[in-house]
Amino acid sequence: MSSLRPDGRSREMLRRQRLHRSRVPSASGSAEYRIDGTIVVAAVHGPLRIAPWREAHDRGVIDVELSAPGWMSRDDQRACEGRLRGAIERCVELRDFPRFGLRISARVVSDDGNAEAACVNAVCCALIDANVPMRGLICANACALTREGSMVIDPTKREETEARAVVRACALSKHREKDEIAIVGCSTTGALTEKEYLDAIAFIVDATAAVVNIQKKSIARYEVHGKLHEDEAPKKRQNTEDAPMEGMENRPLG
Amino acid sequence: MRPFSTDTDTLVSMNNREFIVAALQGDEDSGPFRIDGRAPGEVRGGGDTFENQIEISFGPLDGVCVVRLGHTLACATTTGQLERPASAGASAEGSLRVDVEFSSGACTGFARDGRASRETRQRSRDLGMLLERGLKDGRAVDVESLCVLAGKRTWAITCSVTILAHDGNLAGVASLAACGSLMTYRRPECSVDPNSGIVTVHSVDAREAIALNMHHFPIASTYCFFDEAPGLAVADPTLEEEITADGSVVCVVNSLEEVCAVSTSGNGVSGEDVKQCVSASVNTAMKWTEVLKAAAADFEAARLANKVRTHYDGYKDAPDDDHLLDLFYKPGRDDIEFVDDDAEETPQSDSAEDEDSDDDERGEDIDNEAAIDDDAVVTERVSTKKTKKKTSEPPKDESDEETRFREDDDIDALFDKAEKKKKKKLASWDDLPGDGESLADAVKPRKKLKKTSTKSGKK
Repeated sequence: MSSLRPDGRSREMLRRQRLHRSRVPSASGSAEYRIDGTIVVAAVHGPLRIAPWREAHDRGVIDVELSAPGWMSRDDQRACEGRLRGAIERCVELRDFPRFGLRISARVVSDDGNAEAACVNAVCCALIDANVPMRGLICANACALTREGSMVIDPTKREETEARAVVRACALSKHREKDEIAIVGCSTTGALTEKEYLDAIAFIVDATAAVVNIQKKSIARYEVHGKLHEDEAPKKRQNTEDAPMEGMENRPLG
Repeated sequence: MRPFSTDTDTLVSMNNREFIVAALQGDEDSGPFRIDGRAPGEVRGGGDTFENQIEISFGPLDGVCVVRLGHTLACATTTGQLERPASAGASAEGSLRVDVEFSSGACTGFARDGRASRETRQRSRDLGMLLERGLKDGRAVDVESLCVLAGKRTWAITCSVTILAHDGNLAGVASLAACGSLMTYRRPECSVDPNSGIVTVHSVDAREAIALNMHHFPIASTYCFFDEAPGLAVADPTLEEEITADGSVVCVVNSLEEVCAVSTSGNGVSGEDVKQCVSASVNTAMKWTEVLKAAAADFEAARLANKVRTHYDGYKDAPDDDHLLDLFYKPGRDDIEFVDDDAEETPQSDSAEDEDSDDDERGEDIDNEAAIDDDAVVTERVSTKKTKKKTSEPPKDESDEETRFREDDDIDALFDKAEKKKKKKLASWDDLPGDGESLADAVKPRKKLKKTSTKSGKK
């Protein structure tokens, strides 16, 4: 029995997500990712030649720029850029373009909660659009711990500000290795106990399965129709209310 | 220096430049023409092709606007903060700031240098100054209504515009985005306690937020001039035309035929040409203001409709594209190597699917050697399902054969056969007593057990 949230969703229901690829035609790859009110536009240029003092002889260099004027303070933007950079460095095959650089820019057009996750998802879709070689697909989500003690996935802005704590995690789903999902980034706001933290991470990892499906569908759709076809691939609701809870109980934490 | 395009920009080859210029010079029979087929004075937004469209969309939140003009894309967001007024002279007014930023994704030139390069920052600051002049000095936004407590608290509104994609006419798109964002922005309502002078900002739930009071909408247009074709003003140029051009004029005009700001750069442009540009930009401003107002009206209507929400309806028009996931997991893909788990999982989860479709998919991928193992696994699973179905039938056939064989020889077998048949016959609904109408009749009457043991009656 889960009580409904103010916007009519249950605890484990994600909002509808939309993806529009090739939003910026002049970039190598770009994507606009919308989660209802949160809109992020990401563009990827590269691999480009970069200044000689910044080159690395054996791998490519990644530059991330995040702009969210009015939605996040400058410090938050820099911190978020650092996390994004860490996640992308795990995901992209940097050895494929030594001495070159990849420039990624993301702009948070509007923020109605879960903006950092939308940034990560938009950047991953932009990388797919740019045909950059990647090890797997990165997807992120956030989980808020409300004052009543319940955990709520994909919080809106209001839920984020009123929550006791918010956990944001980013997962990399690889296919070639045995363990399917690796966590490449995590940040928390507020204080949680260890058990709550681990539960939140497991919850988020379950939810990222839905996001990965959007990215996979987008890849399949573009293979069938071609790159210039305008894309809007929304996600399917996360099974039924029972399924995610079942998955969580069976999966060992950590 | 040319406006909004420098040497570090996207490279345009000499051939392209010469072609653009030669096309604008025109022959005797055909007049000047442009590479995207427009007339020199024609502005984007008239046609049906992607390059010729204008699209203004307002985000779900207030104050968010994304404008697309052909391939140029810009977005704007507005935020407000309650502050102490800056100067004593303007103590009874609020303030308005316009911040323009060029995203590095906008074009390859910006991507090379990055957001922090001096060149990019200078240009973005110039564009921001231009828009601010148009909005603030042109009195487009009523700043006096932004004052809450004179001398102590006023609203400082900041409009942040970001150019996401550069394909010419950045000023036009940025001004449209800024106007759209300011049109739909709503600031929280405040009330002042007359005795203590404390200002209370009410949350959006308590009191409805108030929109800004806009008198008019200043819209910018860019015109380019080429030395080889004197007197020809190319309206709303694309990126290549801007880079190739020698001089340019940007006019910020509103639909009431008032000029809010004019800026020229590059080679000197004659006075007549500037006049021509200004009058042409008035027409453009009128056309685009209509489009802006129509889009804003749609947004307001949708906003009112979204106010009352009983359940989450984000998925109501979601298309069903799960077939794409099956395409993604097709065994014939070379680039993604799957562990066998995935190949085994798909037939199980799609057990309701026809086996014919599985056969078709396998038929296509027979040439691909890497897929053979996966196919073998799939066929095994399918075949085990089929054999399981068959095993349920044989036992019946065998028993019939046995009894028929023994019928001639064994009389005991006849009795056995009769008992088996009796046992097999299961009671059906028709065997119940009663005529089937009432439940009471269908229930067998309970046999009263007599103390003296007697033979049991019915079975």
